[in-house]
Amino acid sequence: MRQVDDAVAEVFLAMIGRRCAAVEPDPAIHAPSSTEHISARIALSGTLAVECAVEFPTPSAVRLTAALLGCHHAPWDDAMVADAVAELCNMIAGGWKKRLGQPAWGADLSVPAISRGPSPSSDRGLNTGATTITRAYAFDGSPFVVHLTML
Amino acid sequence: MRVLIVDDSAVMRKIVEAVLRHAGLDITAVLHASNGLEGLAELERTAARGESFDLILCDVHMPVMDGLGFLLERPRRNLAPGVPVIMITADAGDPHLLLAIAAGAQGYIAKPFTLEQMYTRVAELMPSAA
Repeated sequence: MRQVDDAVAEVFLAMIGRRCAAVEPDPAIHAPSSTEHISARIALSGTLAVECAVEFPTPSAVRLTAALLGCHHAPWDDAMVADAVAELCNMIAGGWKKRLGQPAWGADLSVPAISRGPSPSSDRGLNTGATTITRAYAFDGSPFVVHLTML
Repeated sequence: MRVLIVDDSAVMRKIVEAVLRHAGLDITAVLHASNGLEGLAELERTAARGESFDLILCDVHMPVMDGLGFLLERPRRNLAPGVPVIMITADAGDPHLLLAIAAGAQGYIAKPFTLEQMYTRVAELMPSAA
């Protein structure tokens, strides 16, 4: 998971100037009854068959958008918040692929797919799935998770 | 320096513009397009006004027309000849990126990027803007 941690840290430090580190996952955040989530998924295909997904509780996604745009008042709408999550997923997937070295470099990244609704983690089961690895992170106290699913 | 940013992500277009403006580059105008086809249309409108761009920053993967399509179509329409294009990508190993460079892009900048990295990449191509 070091490669994912490093990819996440690099994105936040370069684009936002903030540290972002792995934290203990909080199952309460991902309970089906909890706040709405925004997720982005990118498939890596070819020499890899993996899906990289990021999942943000909506308040975390709004804070991410504000941080990326460098402002705290809302010159954005729901579409831009989803766009920010998609861009983050894109950069994390690309950074993870870069760190895996050959032959992962031959893998293609799909365009991000966005979904909204209850936490998809409630279906996956945090840190328990045989084919999904989940890593929890937080920036400025805002939690989110990254899932890597072997396809 | 007049810059055209072609990217389907509105957030990334705003980030790139903000980074360009804060990097100390001499930026006079920044226009946005959300895909390659819109980018070509913006080049046509700009040419019709007798103006041009000094630099184009272009995403690789976009709906409607991607970065490679934009690069291949631009000379066919004789739009902004000689204006350098820098591709922006989160996947530096993307074969589409290699094709884009073969099709005439002057280079690329990998996301995530710092303000300093953007400045350095643009200044390499546009010393007059530094």
